[in-house]
Amino acid sequence: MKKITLISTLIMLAGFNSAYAGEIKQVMQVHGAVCASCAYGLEKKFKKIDGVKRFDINLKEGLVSICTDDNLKFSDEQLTQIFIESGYSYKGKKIEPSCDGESSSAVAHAVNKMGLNKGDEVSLTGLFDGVCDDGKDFYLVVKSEVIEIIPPSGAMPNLAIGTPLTVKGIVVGQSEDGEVVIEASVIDEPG
Amino acid sequence: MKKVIYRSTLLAGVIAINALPAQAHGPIFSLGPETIYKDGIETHLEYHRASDKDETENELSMGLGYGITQDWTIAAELPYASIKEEGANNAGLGNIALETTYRLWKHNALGLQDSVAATARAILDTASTSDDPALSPGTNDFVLGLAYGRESLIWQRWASVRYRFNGKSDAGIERGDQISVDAVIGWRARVPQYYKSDTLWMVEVNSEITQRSAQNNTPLTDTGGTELFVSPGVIWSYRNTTVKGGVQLPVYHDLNGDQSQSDYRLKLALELIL
Repeated sequence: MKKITLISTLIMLAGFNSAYAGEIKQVMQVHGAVCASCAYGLEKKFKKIDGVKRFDINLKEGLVSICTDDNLKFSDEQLTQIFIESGYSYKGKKIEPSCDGESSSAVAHAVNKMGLNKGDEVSLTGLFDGVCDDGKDFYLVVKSEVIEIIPPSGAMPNLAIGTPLTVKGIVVGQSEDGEVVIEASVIDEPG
Repeated sequence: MKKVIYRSTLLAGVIAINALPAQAHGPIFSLGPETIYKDGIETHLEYHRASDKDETENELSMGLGYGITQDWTIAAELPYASIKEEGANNAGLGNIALETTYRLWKHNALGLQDSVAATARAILDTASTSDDPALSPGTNDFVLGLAYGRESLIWQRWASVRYRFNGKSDAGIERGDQISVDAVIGWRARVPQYYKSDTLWMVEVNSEITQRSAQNNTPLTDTGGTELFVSPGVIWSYRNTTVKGGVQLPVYHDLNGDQSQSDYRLKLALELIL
């Protein structure tokens, strides 16, 4: 149910992208952040800056994400200073073209491990790795990475685990367990 | 009467001796290396309770801290104390404490921070000593401490040592200095998320080694000794708001002469980072 809610939310957000027109997401790698209460200083410092709209931090992956006006740019020196004054270390940044409210985790995970971004159209070949507990999605293993696939309605594969499979679809986000989620439009089963 | 005043003078401020200002995500009873971010403000409201066979102390204190830099914090604490001793009660403003913490060393890694900090604390003789039981021992006391912390997303470890220099009162009473050595381990069940509440469980081991007190340079028999506490506690936080509480339970004592051993000490705190 949570997954359905997530996907519905993403679809809704996609429909309201215009609400965030003119915003970008700036994702920064931080070292030393270990609890939410200690990261509050970062939020305070970023939100003092005109043009910063939203702040989030993924402590597990050490990723700070802020949604800002698209004309707001930070130099590495500025970011280094902000992070130092908050007690942390700045390790680099990445700018996303849109800021649609998605957690930084999805972007980070996809970028870091699969080279994928939300919205990417993909064609992946991997090995079928079983159906999710809720029976609505299934897993595909591609180059040792587990990917969660949302099949087209009524097209759940009925295969033995380890069977090769090709999926075409769009990256829609990240599951609660950290897997990239792809909404499939085509599933090519063997034979 | 003289004996009562004397005992009161010796024991007043037991809470102040051992209590430290709240340190957000740091240990509850012992010293941590945490500092406030640059220009950050931390305010807290704390309740302490300590008791033994003869005396019960309650203290409600307000504290304010400020981050001069990300590594240097200053803080002040204003307590309101209440003491009940052998049927007599007294209450009023306690001793104001001023504190500074400087982080000497820090190592940041992904989901990990190691740090060492030094702390100096002055406990000023601002409370009334005229009533019985006294709210203050009538001295200005100073604490120096060194703390190490290794904090990660799941496990936390802290260790600290403190030395308290106790002053000499006008009555010629000099309470023995005290060394405290602490070790703490903390654990949370899941990696914290920024917009969700976080619960951290911890267990502290607190030891206090107190020298004999003296009156006019004559050592007092029934003073000083060693006590060991095990202190379970919990910290609950949501972004900039933290609630923490713990209890110090005495598990070992080797006190000189005829003294009442500590019963328990309780601490509850509400902290807000601004």
